[in-house]
Amino acid sequence: MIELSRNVTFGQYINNGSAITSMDPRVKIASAILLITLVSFIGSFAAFALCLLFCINLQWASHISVPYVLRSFKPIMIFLIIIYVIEVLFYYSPTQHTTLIWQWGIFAVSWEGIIRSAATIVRVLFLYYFASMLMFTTSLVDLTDGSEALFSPLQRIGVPVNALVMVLVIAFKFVPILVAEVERLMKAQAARGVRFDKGNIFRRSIKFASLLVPLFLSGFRRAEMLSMAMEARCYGSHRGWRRSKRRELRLKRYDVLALSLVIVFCIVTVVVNFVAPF
Amino acid sequence: MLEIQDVTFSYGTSEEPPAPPAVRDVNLGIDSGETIAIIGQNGSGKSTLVKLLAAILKPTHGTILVDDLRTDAGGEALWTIRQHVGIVFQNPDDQLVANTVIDDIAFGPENLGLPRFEIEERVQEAMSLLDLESYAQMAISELSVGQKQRVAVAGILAMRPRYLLLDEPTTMISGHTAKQLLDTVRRLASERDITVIHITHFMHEVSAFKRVIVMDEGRILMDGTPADVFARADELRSVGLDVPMVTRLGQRLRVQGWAELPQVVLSIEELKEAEPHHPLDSVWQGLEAGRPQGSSLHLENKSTPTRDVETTLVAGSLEDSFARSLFELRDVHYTHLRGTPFAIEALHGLSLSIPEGQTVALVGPTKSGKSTLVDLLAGLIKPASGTLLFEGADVSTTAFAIERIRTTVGVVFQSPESQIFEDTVGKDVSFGPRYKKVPLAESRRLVQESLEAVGLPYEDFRTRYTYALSGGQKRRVAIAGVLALQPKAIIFDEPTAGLDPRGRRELLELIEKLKERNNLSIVYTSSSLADVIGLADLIYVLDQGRMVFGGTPREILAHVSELAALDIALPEPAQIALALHEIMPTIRTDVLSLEELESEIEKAKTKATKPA
Repeated sequence: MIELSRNVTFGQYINNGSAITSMDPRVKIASAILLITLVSFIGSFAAFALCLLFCINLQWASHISVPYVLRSFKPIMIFLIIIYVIEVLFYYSPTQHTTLIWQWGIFAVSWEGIIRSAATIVRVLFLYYFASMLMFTTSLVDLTDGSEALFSPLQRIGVPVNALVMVLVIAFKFVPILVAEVERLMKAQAARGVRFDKGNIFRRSIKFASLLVPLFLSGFRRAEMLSMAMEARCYGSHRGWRRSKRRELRLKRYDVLALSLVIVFCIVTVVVNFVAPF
Repeated sequence: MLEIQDVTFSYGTSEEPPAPPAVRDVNLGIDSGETIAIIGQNGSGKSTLVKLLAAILKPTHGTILVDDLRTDAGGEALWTIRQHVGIVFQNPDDQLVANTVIDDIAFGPENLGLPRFEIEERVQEAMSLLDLESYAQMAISELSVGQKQRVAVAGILAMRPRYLLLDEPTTMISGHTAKQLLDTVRRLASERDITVIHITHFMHEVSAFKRVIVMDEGRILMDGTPADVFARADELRSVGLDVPMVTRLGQRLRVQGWAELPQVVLSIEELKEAEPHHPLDSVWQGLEAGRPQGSSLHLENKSTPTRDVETTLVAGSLEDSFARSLFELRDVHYTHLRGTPFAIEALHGLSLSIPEGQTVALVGPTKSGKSTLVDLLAGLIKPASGTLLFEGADVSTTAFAIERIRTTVGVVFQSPESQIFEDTVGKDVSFGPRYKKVPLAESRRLVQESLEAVGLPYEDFRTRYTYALSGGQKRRVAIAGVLALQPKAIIFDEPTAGLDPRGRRELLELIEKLKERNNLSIVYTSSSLADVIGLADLIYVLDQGRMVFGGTPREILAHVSELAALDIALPEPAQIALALHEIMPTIRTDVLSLEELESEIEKAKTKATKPA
C-alpha cells in the first residue's frame, strides 16, 4: 500500500510538551554539537556504552515512543550494512591488522577490521540519533532563532548567517511537503496501472525515476510561490535591512543545568575513552 | 490612491510564437477606502494585475503609482510599497512561512525590523481581529484550509497595510467560512480605512462590493457598481462569467410581472424587501397564523403528496440496485500515519454502499474522510479494520488481488497536473493502455475515442504539449487518460475546484454525458452541494470519518440545520427558497434548480391569491 509519509520521519517536530521540547534552543543545538563531536572523537567501547546510557536517559526524558525513533533508523540501516561489509573486506593493512581470519586476493577479513568498522558504524548511529533527537524535540522556529543567535558571531566576518539559516529552515519545511508530493504522484500512477511493488530493484528504480521530473516541476513551482509570498511580506536583503524578533531567548536555570550536565558527561566520557582497556 | 496608467505586461518573451500580453492597455484609478471585486475567467489577467499592484511584477509598458510611488522604481520605494500593499494568495500553503500561527503572523512585522513590543502588539491585534487567539500556539499543519487562510490574512494585517489584495482567497474554502472571511475583510476595510481588492470566480461574492471590475483577455471590460455590471448579463456570459442566481431569478420574476422588483436584484434581502408592498401580504400573514407552530421544514415538505411518491420511487429503485453494489463498506476504520505521534483517524466506522451504474456524491467538509475514502475505493489503500466488499468480494482476503479494483475503477484526482506524466497529450492518454500492454492499434483507438469523448479533437490535440494546456483542458486530458483504461467506475475528486463558471459548467456537462454511458458508475466528491445536487442519484454526507446521512438529493436538502452545522452550503436555489420561506410559507425549500424554484414561487403566489 502507498503510505510513504509514514516511514519518512526525518525533520519532524513532535510537540509533546516534554522537558526537552521546552529547553532553550541554543542550549539544545550547542549540546547536540558537543555530543556529535564527542562520538566522532571517541573509539573505545566502554565510552560508547556510556553514550548508550546517556541516550537511554535522553530517550526517556523526551517521551517519544521508542519504536517510532527506531523506525527512523530503518532507511539508513541498509546503507550502513553495505558500508560495513565493504569496510571489513577492503580495509586491511598488514602492519595494523595482525589477526587475519580469512584472505582471498584483495579481500581480507581481520579481527581488527571487524572491530574498527563496528566502531565506525556505532559512531554513525549515535550521530544520527543525536541529530534526529534535535529535530524531534525542536520546532523550526526554535531551530532558526537558536542557530541565528548561536552563529551570529560569524556574521561579523561576513558570513550571511540569517540567509543561510532561512535556507535551512525552508529546506526542512519542504521535506514533508515533498514526501506528500511523491505519495500523491505515486497514487496517480498506481491508479493508472503502475505497480511500485513489482519487479526487480532495477525496474523499481526506473519507476521511481519517472516521478522525479514532475516532482521537481512542482517543487520549483512551490519554491517560486513561496519566495514571491515572502518578498511580498517584505522579506529580502537590501542594504541596511535587519529583521527583528518577536521572541526573546532567555536562559533558564534548567537550561544552564542541562548544558553543564552535557559538558560533564563529555569530559567523563573522554577520560573513560583513554583509560578503559577496550 | 492606486493609479494604473497605460499598463501592459507580458510574461517571458522566449516562447514561439510570443504569448499575448497578460495585461494590456489598462488604465485604472482606485481611491483609498474603496472595496473592489475583480472578476474574469481563468487567464483574463486579473491575478497578474494584482501582482503588478503589489510590485511583485513590473509593468512591461506604462506606470503604476502606489501613493505616488512608482512600482518599478526599486530601492526604498519598493519596500515602502510592499509594506503598504498586502497580498493574500489562493493557496495558504504557498505563503505561510513559519510553523505556528503566532510565529507566522509575526513574520511580516519582524521583516520590518520593528521593536519587540510593537511586534507583540500588532500580532495580538491581528489575531483578535480574525479570532485566532485560541490557535496562537497551534502548528499550521494542524489547521483546516479555512483557518490557514485566516492566518494568512492576519499575517498581512499585522503589517498594517493600506491596501489589501485578495487573489482568489475563497477557492479552497467553502460556504459559510468563505462568507465569514469576506465579511470580516469588508468590516476591517470600513473600520480601518483599508482599500480592499478581491479577485474571485464566485459571482455571489461580488454583490456586497461597492465597485466591480470585469476583465477579459487582459483588458478591462466593465467597471461599475454590481448593479451596473450584472445588468449586462449576456455580455458577462459571453466572457465565461455569469450573474448570481438571485439576479437571474429576479429577472425572470420581473418578466412574469413582479414590477416591485428592482432592475437588478443583488441579494435575497432585496427580493424579500420587494414583497411587503405586495397587496396580498396580509393574506399570507393570515395563512401563517393558521399553521401549526413548531413544525419543522422537513415535516412540512413531507406533506407534499407529489414528493412522497417521488421519494418512494427513487428509494425503491435504489433498493433493487443494492443487490448489485459495486462497493459495500461496513464499519471501516482507517488511520493515517499509523504508529507515529501524528496518527489521525480518518475513517471512523464508515458504512455505506455504492450501487453499480449510479452516480454517487460524497459531500463533506475538510477532514471528513473524503480523500481517504477515494484512496480506498481506488484500491490504493486497504481498510485497517472493518469490511470493504468490491463486487461482493472481500478486499482483505489474501485471495483478492488489489489489481482488480485498480483496473476497474479510474480516478480523476483533485489537481489534474499531478495526473499528467507525459509531455504530449497523446502519450499521456496512452499511458494506461501501454502499461497494460494493449496492442498498438487498439491503444490508438482507445486514445482517439477517449479524447473525443472529452471533447478534444484527436488530430488536433494528439501532439500538443501537456504543459501548455489551460486548466480546463488539463482536466479533460486527465479524464481522457482515465477513460482509456476502460473503467467500469470513475471517481472524480473535487473536479471543479479552481475552475471559473464556464469551466465548471462545461465539466459538469461532460460528466453528465459520461453518466449516460452504459453501466458506468460515477463517484463524485465535493465540499459543497451545488455541483452534485442536479447530478447525483444518491448523496452521502460525511463528517469526521462517518456517514452522517444519505439519500436522494431532495432528501438531503431536508436536513437544513445539520448541513449548516457541518458548514456545507445549500445550493443557491435552496438558499433562496429557504429565505423566502419566511414570507411565503407554502413554498417548498427542497428545490433542485432555478426552474423548480421559479415554479414554486409562482405556485406560492397563486395559492396566496385564491383565499383572497
